[in-house]
Order: sequence, then C-alpha cells, then structure tokens
Amino acid sequence: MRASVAHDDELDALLRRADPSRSFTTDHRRLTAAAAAGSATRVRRRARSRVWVALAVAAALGLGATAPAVADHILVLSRTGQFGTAGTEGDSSEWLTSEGSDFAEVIDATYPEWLPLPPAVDANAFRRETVELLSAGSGYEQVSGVEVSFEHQARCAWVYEWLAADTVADTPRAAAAAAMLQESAHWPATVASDGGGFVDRLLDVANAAATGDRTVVEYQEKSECGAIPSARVE
Amino acid sequence: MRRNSLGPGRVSTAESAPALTVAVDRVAFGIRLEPLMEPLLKYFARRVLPRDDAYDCLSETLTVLWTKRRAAPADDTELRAWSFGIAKNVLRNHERAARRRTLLAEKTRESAENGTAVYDDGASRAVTALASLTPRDRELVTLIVWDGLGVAEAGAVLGLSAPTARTRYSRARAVLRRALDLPVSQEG
Repeated sequence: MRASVAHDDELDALLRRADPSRSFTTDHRRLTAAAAAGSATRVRRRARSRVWVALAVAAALGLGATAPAVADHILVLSRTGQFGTAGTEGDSSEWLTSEGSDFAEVIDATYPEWLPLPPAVDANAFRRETVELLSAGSGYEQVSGVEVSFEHQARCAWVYEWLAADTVADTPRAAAAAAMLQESAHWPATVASDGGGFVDRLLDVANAAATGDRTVVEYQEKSECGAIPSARVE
Repeated sequence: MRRNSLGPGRVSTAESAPALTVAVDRVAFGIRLEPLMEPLLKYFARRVLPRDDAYDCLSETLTVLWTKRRAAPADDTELRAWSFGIAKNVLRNHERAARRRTLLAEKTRESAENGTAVYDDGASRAVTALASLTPRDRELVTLIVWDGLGVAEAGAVLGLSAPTARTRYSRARAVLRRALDLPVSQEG
C-alpha cells in the first residue's frame, strides 16, 4: 500500500508540473480591480431603479396606460449613465449594458469611421459583422472596450492582408500591410487600454511583418483573429 | 414623488434601514468571496489564452456571483463548488463569445503566456496523458489536482453525483498511470 501511495504522489507531482498556471504570476493590483466587478451589480440596480422612478412619474401624470411603454424604453437603454473611474485599471468612459435592446445600435454608433481597412475588405460587411459579434456578448462593457474591439478586428484584417500578400510574394502590398500594422499599434483606444506591454507586442508583430517573419504573423492570426469573416483577405 | 426631489441615487430616511441591511449583506458576501478570488483567477489562467484574459473572466464571474448572491449556499465548501460552477459557465461563454480564441483554448496545455510551451519532459508526458482522457474526465482531474477541489466538489461543478465523480476520478487516474508508465495502484 505504501508503494501505491508513492505512485499516487508521483502521478500528482507529474500532473502538477503540467499545470499551465505555474508560469502565471498573480498581479494583485489587477486582481483587486477584478474584485470591483461587484460595482457592476450596483450599476444594474441603479439602472433598474430608474424604471420605477419612470413608472411613478408616469402614474403621477396620469399616464397609467402608457407607463409600461415608457418603462420599456427606459429599461432597455444600453447606456447606463454610469462612467468608469479613470486610473491604472480603468478609464472614464461610459458603461454599456447588453440588457438594452439598443445594444447593437449603441455599439454601431461607437464604430470609428476613420478605421482603415485593406482595399479588398467590404467595409459595410466588416462593420456589420463586428457589431454583431460585439453585441452578442452579455454583461457590461465600457465604450472604450468596444472601441478597442473595433480596432482589434481591423488590425486582424491587416494581418490577413499581409499574409495574403506574402503568400503571393507581393512585396509592395506586404510592405503596405506591415506599415499599417505598425500604425495600428498606435490607434487611440489600443494605446489608451495598454496596461503595459500590449502595444510593444503589437509592434513586435508589425516588425516581424516588416522583416518577412511569417511565423510570428501567423501566430498572431491564429491566436487573435478569425471572428470576422469579412476581414479575411484571401 | 418626494423620492425624485432627493435627486438621482438618493434615498429617503425611511429607506435607509433596508439599505443598511443590504450594505451589511454585501460586506458579508464580499468577505466570503475573498478567499476564492485567486483560486478562481488561476482556474481561468489554466484554461484561457492569452492568460491575461483570466482577469476579465474573473470579473465576469464575480459579477454573476454578486448578482446571484441571494442564491449562494450558506456553507463555504458548497459556495466554492457553486462559484467554480459559475466560473465554468463563464469560461464556456468566453470561448463562445471570443471565437477567435477558441482555437487556442484547445491549446492551453501546450502554450505558455505569449508563445511556445515550456514544459520539461515529465510535464510534457503528463500533458499528453491528460489529453488521452475524455474532456469531462480531464476537467474532473484538473479541478482536483490543479484547482484543489475535493472529488465531490469537482463532481458538483461538473454536474456529477459524488459516487459517480469518485468512480470516474479513480478510472481516470488508472488511465493516467498507464499512460505515464506508473504502476496501477488499487484505489478507491
């Protein structure tokens, strides 16, 4: 029996060595920030309280019949009117809630019109598909997070553009895509959300593209892209 | 209408007593959740890539936990299993919503933070052995060995009864021992 225990220990030890979190160091500042998620619940409570206020107002004004409609419109608003606190772990942009029926519209309105896309990408399809993807999520999201996601998906389009150009050895086209990848590392929401190292990593990818290192660009594509079909340039 | 005159977010004195009760409840629940923060964070760190997404997943989990706190088990051990069950659902949503990451989610045991896996020979063999299990058995084993849950707790997370979890865990360990060329012991 002692031998069995020893073998069990050996098995557990081997399994623990395969634990991916062994290389993960907890950032306690970020852990604390994550713990603040409870505040999102408070946002929800406030948003709902507005419905009751609206119902009370409607009733007082003799709008009993229309009160539910009024409440519906207030209840479904995605814009919570709550703003984040600017700091190292957050920004002051507004919190949106996916509970709102206008969630997709609000996300669409956040789309950065200036966002450059490769010539072969259908901009309307890209925008529609990205809005669909982002509005499919549930919970709370800051406007800044939506902006980052738009920039991210556009960056993926340029990753596909570079890979397509590299595949057919179209050097000028690949160089243009690499230059855009470089530029994309400095897009505003991307920079604003960089908690340290993210922009540098994007620049590494851009530099790899500029020097023709396909492995790195392919890794970026596999690890970060693929959600928006219209972004995929063949 | 008087409530309106107080302005947004303000409550009358008559409402302050219930508000205090709510505040006390919130503090108490926060204290109960505190020891689960890091284990939950590591749960995600083991299963998502980039690993930094673990913080977002944790936030999402905590949001759900706070929202459902009135349904939380009073017993702390049950609270842990309940929380991991919610974390499991958040993980699934995360993989569905972030489809671009789904590909990598399958590779969590192969890759380190931003690139290539750094496993020694023994760990690589363990990774391969784990991959030979069914997804549910693998999750059962990792919840127990990596996340530190008890067998019954891990079973509860996965929707298995305690006896079923014990049987499956024992069987999974036998498979792992064979895959790792360790003598098969007589267990549970």
